[in-house]
Amino acid sequence: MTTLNVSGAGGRLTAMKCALLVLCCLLPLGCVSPSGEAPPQDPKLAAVERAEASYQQGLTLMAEGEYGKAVVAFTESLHAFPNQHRAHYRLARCHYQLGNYGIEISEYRKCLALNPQHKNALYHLGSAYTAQDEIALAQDCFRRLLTLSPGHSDARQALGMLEAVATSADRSVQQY
Amino acid sequence: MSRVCLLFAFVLAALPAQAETLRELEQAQQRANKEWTRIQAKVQRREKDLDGLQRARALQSQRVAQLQKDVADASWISRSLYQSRLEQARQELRSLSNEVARLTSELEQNKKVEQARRLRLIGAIRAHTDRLFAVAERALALKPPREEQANAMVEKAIADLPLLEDLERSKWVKHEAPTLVRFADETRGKSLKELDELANFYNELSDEAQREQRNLLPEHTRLTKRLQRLNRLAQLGIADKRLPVLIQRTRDALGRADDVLSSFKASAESHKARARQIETLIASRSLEQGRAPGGGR
Repeated sequence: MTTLNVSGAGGRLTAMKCALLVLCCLLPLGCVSPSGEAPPQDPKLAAVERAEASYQQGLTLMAEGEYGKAVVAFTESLHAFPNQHRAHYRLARCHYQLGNYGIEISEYRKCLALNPQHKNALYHLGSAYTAQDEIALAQDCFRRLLTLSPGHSDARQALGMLEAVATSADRSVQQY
Repeated sequence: MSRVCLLFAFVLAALPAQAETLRELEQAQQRANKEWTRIQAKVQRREKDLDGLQRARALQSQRVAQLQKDVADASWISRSLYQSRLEQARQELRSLSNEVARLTSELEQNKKVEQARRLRLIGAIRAHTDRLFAVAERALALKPPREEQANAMVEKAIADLPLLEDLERSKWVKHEAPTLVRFADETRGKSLKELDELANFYNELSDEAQREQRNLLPEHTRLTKRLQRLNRLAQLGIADKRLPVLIQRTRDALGRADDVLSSFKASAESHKARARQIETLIASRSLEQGRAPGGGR
C-alpha cells in the first residue's frame, strides 16, 4: 500500500491511519474487495436481469415465429424469476401457436392466478375454452372480462354466441 | 336413510340432462365402436361355425341315407350290424341338428345385439362429429379465429364420417311401389265385404308408407343440416382437401334420401287413391242395392 508523504514520520503515520479507516468503511459496503475484484452483485438482482434477458429473447423469437425456441426462453425466464404473469401469458400464446391447447389453457390459468385482471389472458382463455367446447368455463372468462372492461366488443360477441349455444337444443345428445 | 335416497333420486331426476362435453362424446364413440366391432366379429365367427356345422349335418344326413339303404339291402346276418351303425349315425345327426339349432338361435340373438350396437354407434358418431363441426364453427367465429384448431377438429370429424356413411346407407333403402293391378280387374266379381276388406288393406298400406316417410324425415333433416354445416365450414375457409369431396358425398346421400322419401310418398298416395276408388265403388254399389254405405251387410 502506498502512503501519502505528508510531513515527516508522524504525518506518514496519520495518512496510513486515514487510508486504513477509509478501507474499513468501504469493505462492508462491498465497494472494495480484499482481493481487489469487482463487488459481487445482489443475486436477486442478477436473477431479475437474467429473467428479463430471457423474456426479451423470447419476445424476439416469437416475433420471428420460432415458437418452440420462444417456449424455452420463457421457461428459462420463469426459472430465473418465477411468478411472472407476463411470461406465463407469452408461454400460453406460444403453446397456442404450437397446437398444445391443453398447456395453453394451463398457462393462461397460471397467468390469471398471478394477475386476475389480465384482460388478454381472460379473453384468450375464454377463446381456448370455447374451442374445447367448455361452454360454462368460457362464459365465465368472458363475463369476468366484461366486468373489467365492459366495452370489450369481441368478448361481448363471443359471450352472446355461447349463450345461444348453451340454450340451444343442439347440445342435447338425446336427439341422436 | 331410504327417504334420503328417495329424495336424492328425485333431485337427480329433476335436474336437467347435462349435455356431454366433446371429450365425453369422443369416449362414448370409441366405446360404441369397440362394442360394435366385438359383436360384429362374434357374428362373423358364429356364421362361419354355423356354415361348417350345416355342411357337417348335410354330410351326416347323406351318411344316414346311405346306411338306411345298406340296412335295406343287407342280409339278415349283417343287418343288425348296419342297424346299429345307422342308429349311431342318426344319433350323431340329431346332435348335429341340435347344435345347428342352438347356433342359429345364438346367431339370431347376436345379430339383434349387433343391430342395436350399430344404431348406438351411428348415434355416437353423429353426436361426436356434429359437435366437432359445431365447435369448429365457433372456433372460427372467434376474433381472432382459431383456424388451426378448427381445422384439426374438422379433420377429425371427416375421418369418422366414412364409417358413419356406410352404417347409415342401410337406412336408405328405396321403396319400390308395387305396380297396382288394373282397378277393373281387381274389383271384378268381388262382394261388398271383399271390397271393404280390399279398401282397408290399401288404407293400411298407405298408412304404413306414410309412417315410414315420417320416421325417415328426421334423418333427412339431419343430412340437410350436415350439408348446410359443411358448406358453412367451406365458406369459413377450412383448408381440408377432403371437405369438398365430403360435401359432394353428403349431397349425393341427400339426393338418395330424397328419392327414398318420394318413393314412400308416391306409394302412400297411390294406395290411398286406390282405397278411395274402391270406397267410391262400394258406395255406388250400396246405392244400387238400396243400402246406405257403411250399413250392415
